[in-house]
Amino acid sequence: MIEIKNLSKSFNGKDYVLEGLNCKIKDNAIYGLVGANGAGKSTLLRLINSIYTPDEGSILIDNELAYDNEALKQEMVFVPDDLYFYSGYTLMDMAEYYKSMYHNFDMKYVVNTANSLKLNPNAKISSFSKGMKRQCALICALATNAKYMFFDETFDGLDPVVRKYFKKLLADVMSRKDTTIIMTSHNLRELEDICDNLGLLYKGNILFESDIDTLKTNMFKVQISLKEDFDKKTFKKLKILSYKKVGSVATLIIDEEGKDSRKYLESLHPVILDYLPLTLEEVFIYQMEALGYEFESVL
Amino acid sequence: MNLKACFNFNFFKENIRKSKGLLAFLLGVIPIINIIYLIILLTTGNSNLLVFNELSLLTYAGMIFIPLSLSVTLFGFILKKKSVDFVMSKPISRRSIYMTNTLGGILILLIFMIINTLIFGLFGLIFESLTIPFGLLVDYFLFWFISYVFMFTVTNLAIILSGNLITSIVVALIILLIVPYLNGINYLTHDYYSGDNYIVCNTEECMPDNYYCYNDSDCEEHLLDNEYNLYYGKLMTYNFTAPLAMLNGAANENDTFYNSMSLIKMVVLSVIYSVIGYFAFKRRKMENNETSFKNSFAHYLVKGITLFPVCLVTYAIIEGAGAIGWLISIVGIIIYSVVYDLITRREIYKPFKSFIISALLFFLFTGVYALNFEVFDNPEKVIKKVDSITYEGMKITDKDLINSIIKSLLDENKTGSGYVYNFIFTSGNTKYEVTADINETLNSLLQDELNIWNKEKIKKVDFNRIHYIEYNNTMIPVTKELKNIIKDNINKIDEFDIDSLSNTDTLFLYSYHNHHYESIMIPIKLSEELFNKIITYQNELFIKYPEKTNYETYYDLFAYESDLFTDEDYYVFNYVIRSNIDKFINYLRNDNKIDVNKDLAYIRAYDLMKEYTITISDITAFKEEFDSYKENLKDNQEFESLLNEFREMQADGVYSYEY
Repeated sequence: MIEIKNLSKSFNGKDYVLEGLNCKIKDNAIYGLVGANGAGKSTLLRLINSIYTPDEGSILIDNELAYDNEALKQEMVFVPDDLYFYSGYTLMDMAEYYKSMYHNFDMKYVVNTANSLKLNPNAKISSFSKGMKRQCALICALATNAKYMFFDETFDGLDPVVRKYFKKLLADVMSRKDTTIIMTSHNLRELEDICDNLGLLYKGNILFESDIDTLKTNMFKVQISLKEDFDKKTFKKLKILSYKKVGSVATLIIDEEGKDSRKYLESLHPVILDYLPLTLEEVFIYQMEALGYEFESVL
Repeated sequence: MNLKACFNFNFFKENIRKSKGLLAFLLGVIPIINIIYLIILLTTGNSNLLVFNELSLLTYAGMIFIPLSLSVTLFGFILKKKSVDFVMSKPISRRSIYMTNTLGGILILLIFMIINTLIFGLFGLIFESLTIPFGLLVDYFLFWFISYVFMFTVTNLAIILSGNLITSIVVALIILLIVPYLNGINYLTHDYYSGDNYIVCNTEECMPDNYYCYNDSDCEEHLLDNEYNLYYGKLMTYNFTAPLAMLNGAANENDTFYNSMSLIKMVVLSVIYSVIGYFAFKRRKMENNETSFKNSFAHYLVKGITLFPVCLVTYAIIEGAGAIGWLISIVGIIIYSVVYDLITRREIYKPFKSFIISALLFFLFTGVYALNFEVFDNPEKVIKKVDSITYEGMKITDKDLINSIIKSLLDENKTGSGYVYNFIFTSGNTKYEVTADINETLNSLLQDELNIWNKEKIKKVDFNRIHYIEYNNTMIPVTKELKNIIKDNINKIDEFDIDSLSNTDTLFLYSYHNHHYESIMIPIKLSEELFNKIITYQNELFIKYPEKTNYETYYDLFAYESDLFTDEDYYVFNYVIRSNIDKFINYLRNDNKIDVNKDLAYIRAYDLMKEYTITISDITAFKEEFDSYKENLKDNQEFESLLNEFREMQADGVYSYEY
């Protein structure tokens, strides 16, 4: 388990990218880390991987301090958003490098996966496209057989077919071993398909954490129309994240919080009452709006 | 600290692998150029006694770029965000990275230095004409290995402390040069140019007979304390670290870069810089990359330090140009400030604040220089007690002689004898240099002392250490037989006036001792056997040469002491010998009637590649031989026209061969 306690990081000593962050990430799950640009997602991953030094706080992995812990790092692999390969190296050269660093590195896995993806393992990586380079990085990372895998902007640059293939590879890794994967992405639809849990990073802290199913079953988009005139106050017993009324039809975004909203709304004898599922992207946007993040002003 | 646990062999192996091209270049370029240099030396055909500086030339040249490139190869990843992510996320701790890279780098430098030393050693072993004593090889290896390791630790530290390569270079230069710079400024101010220097003399023995104050009250005041004005400069102690080894060499009377104190300094500093580097690396904020420093104070501090030497230039401009100098200087400082920011940060960093800080520092540093050069300059210096005087390498500690020298130097009425010598006065740990014209009496006295000192030195020579023997620009093989002849006759040295020996009378014996060559002069006529052996060897060396060379050989005659040869003989000498070369070679084969009491003649034979000296032991017999060669050319048109040419020149008063 990854346990983050009171973690703070500032790059200039004044403005904190992460401030007093507390969070627990369960084992054997895929954890999606979302947040607006500059929320500190990449910084958090770099702190967990001991690339950056925290100003305050600590990160415990399996109850051990993670910072600069060589033994623990054997069980951790990180693929950053901006990839790096040694000049003139081929995929096989990179795999050799990883093999020299990770005790459980699986060279066969690299060869087989590269063959499946029709990647020439002996061609120079510098001659590859952006997507092919990311494939190389992901293959090497998965071949480490590390217990904790961290991917920043995981599927950036991959075409839909390869993206699907890697999702399958991640699922395979999860099913084979007790692996925990933490990934960030700007594309929430990507995470929706694959993540078990989601954490929203906002202003240097985790705003909410939840498993995807709960998130999706707890929040609904409801279209409603009543016989009498009504406004937002009519629904004051519910937790309304968003309210918009056009003509006599209102669109509500409701956070159930364990309550049964349908029962309550039906008690108002509506003319129209439709429950629509929310995409993860909508959940993210409405949660952010509810916190005062003004998308409209940005757009 | 468990070294084995800290050194990650796999990480080191991969670091080598990823940079194998660069490392091959680094490890290869200097040895290859060294080999080329040695081959060039060999092809010139002359014998070479290689000195430390000669061996070190290319190694010195590579001292900056090789350790810097190695540091960039091993630690450069911290200067780029992408590579930081890649390396730092791998299962290796900061301690292991630092230790592996540092020890690995030192190992690479060790291999590099072993390769270079082996090349020199092998060339010395294989080729007789290259003399490279083992002691010199040890010195070369030790000095340059430590120097390279020192530079490597400096560049490592500079990279760890800064965020980009340019700033690293600036930081490295500051680490390397700040102390020598301050030292140099201090020396120039307080020591080198000081005009009012006094020497204390309390005893009759050193008081000058003729010393006048010409009503100068300052001078008279000093005389009350028995202080006499003497022009001298304090000698700076040159024991800088490797980059300034050239200064060590220049200041050293043996003219060698090697300096034991520098070595000790570098070892100590390497350890200190490595320890600082270790803690700096452990605590380094890895987000500090692709700019000079994340911390603005560090940026201003480093920039401020670089302003210090710049302000010396502006101070000189202000001194020379007055008010306009101030204007030029301020504009210059602003330009410098902008250029520095653009180079190190690729932006003009907080321009207003930056200009204000630069301007304030400019005024501060100008003030410091003004104080230094105007106020603290020319302090009176007094040598209270001279412990010893070094003259021509001879250390004089005899009180009477020291007093005689001081007395002579202070004598204002002395008639210049034309003998201008450097005397090094040692007083405690400080050395002063006095350059003076000395009178004939003192000169004779010193020469006598020098003669005795030289003879004692010769008698004490350790013949096992003799690496090279030279006579008349020819290398004589150092054989046991030759050494024994000299050893057996060494007591005869008292019969000779060593200092009046000419080059052709002297055998030079070189030994590598105390990190430099010491030479002693042995009279070639010390024994007839020695004389015979040397001359025979020298002439035999030449006898084979005309058959081997493809170049035209020229001949010049030198018969200083004899008037047997006429101007005409000297003029036609080359032509006559070349026309009778077979006979001349044959004559040399039989010219072995050595008589140490007779005068000698020398023939210089040279072509494009090589030069030989041939010694003629019986001038009278050779004159007869030479005349017979001339006789042989009687009907030769070319020879006749050469003679006519000479006669015409002589008639016009143009030609007169004089030695």
